[in-house]
Amino acid sequence: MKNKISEIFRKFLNIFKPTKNKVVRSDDFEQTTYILDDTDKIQNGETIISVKNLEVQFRVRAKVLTAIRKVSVDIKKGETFAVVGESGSGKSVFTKTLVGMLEENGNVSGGQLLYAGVDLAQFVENKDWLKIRGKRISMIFQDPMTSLNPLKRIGFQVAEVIRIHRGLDKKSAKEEAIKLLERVGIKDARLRYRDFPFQYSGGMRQRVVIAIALACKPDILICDEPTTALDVTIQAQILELFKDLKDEFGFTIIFITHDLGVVAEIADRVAVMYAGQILELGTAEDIFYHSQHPYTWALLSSLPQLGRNDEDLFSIAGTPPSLIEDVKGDAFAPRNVHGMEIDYYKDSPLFKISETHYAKTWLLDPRAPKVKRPKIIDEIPERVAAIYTGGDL
Amino acid sequence: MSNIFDIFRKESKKSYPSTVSTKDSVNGRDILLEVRDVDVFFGAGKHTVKACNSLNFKIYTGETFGLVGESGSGKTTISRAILGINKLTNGAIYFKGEKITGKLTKKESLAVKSKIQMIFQDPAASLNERANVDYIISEGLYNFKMYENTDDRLHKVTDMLHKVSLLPEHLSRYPHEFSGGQRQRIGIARALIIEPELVLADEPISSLDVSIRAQVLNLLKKLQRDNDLTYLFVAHDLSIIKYISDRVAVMNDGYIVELGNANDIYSNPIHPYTKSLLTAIPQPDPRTKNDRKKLVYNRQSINYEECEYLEVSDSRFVLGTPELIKQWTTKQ
Repeated sequence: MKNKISEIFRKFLNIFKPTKNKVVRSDDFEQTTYILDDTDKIQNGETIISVKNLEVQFRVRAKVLTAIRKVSVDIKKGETFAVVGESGSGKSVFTKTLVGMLEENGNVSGGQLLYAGVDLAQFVENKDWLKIRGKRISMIFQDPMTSLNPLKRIGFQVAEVIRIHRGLDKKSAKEEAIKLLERVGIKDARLRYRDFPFQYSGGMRQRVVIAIALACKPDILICDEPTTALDVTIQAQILELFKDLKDEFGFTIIFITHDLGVVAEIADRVAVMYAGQILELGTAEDIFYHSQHPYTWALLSSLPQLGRNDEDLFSIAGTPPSLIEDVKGDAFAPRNVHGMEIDYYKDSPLFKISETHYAKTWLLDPRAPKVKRPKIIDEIPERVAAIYTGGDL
Repeated sequence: MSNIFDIFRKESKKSYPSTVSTKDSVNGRDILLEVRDVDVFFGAGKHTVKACNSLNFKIYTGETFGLVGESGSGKTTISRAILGINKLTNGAIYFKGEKITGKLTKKESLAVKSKIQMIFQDPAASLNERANVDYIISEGLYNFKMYENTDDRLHKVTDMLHKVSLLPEHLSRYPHEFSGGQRQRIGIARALIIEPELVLADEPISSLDVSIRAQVLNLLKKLQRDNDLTYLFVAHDLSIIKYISDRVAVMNDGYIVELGNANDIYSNPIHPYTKSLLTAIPQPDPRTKNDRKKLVYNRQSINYEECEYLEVSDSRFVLGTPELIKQWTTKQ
């Protein structure tokens, strides 16, 4: 009788238990068969992620905000793909969509997100995502303090991922974790295994986060402003670490940042985003030396490191448009120095400039007036060199 | 007990005169602010944190003095000490020849505060979110009673708003209604309304968006030209410091390791820490990324306590010993 009551009581309690965020154990993973076994067959340089006409919407107080407006891009295996833009341009939303980490009120409202032939946009349940997230696509966030659990020891947090995703036992997971921590450059990893996050410095914490992200040897590593919270010297070290690890582990990096200096340092290809669209896409050389879009020009010429004491910096007037209403025409038109009438009522297509280089501006239409890009962009190499050789040229 | 042991201290506390000359004896320029042998320590006994160690620098009238260093190097501590928020352990700070640290009467400290103002890093956190822009900007005027009547005050405030390119209708709004760049401009207007002579800008653009940084930097430069302001510009980013400063001090671990004209420091960095900071700036030039060698600074290799300030060239100071400086300059 007593047992029965307690059983009913337990059942009753179970109703209130959250089922959504169920703890997933390693054996749950054994039962599911992977649809994605052929990702290893993709050769370097072939498309690993193909985004087609992606559209992401958020419901905000009975209104619809379109954060990503028809983005199409192919990301190749083994490359470092950087996404640049000011805040609110949708660069973070874009990468969050890739790992299914959109907030509750957001959803993919159109388009496809093909990862090795599987459409991730069709995923509904968290269970589907768990096969991808962390294991195939890992993510590193801006602030290492908020992505680590302050109450758990560093070693535990690294080993936990290895235990759950790779199914190792505690002891070998620990050995593996120490090896990883040493690889990302933590000295005396064995001694510091039982430290808490607050005992680590900012740069070291970010190294731990990188170790966790790499624990499952992911195909794709998404870095959302990983160095913004760090000092310049530490930032340089972390960027160097990314380059080394990329060669060793052979993953693809999707790098989000607003710092064009960092982009030049690390990226193979660059996408410039504005108001939920890709305005210019090309190799790093295309973007820094042959950019065609007025927005890219504006971003480059407003860089303080290129400024000289006696001249004012270029600054972009106005603010980004609200994405709650439908944006008519080109979203950048009101802030565009070279804006034309057509910008206000018709959105420009993505013009192809070369095999690798695309830009979305009416200026590239044969009927448009010829506009010269600002002088400062042609002077980038000289001005950068001047930083080391001293003041004025 | 502690008094007994004071006798055994190597140095007894130096005394500092209450007034000093405002003309630099070397180059004859007007000194607005002078920092002499300033130590700021936190805590006591074993757990003392030495945030600033024997800092010495002068800020001349009308210039922009840049203070660079990583987080934890003590650059914010010294700017707070100038404002009187942090107490000095040793040393003295002079503003226009008058000592502004130590015991001050209420009148004196008010007079100093009306001449030194600060612009903060995070415009969202430093503005009172329950006050409207009108109050935020005129608070300084209220405190120092710098207006005759309401019309005069409003006139001053709208004038200031115009200077920082905000509109008069913004007066009745609250900080949350503004974008980051606009908020920072409110912060600047608030600091400048009482016509200070020295403005301490503590990383004023590091929390702003890329496209707005240039706006705020341009504004700061314009205001300096129009109002003859002197800036102490604190930043961790050497590229911004280069653009805005006339003279630069590089801080590491509570010490100024190198001080000199901005152009000299960029063309010919001497201290290895300065070199490592300079080479660490990511540059928007992908072609040369592999040519640029990144130098890593080993803090343990130099014991700062054994070093002293040496003048290597005209008004260029480096923290080191003669042997070390010889080693650093010949290596290149």
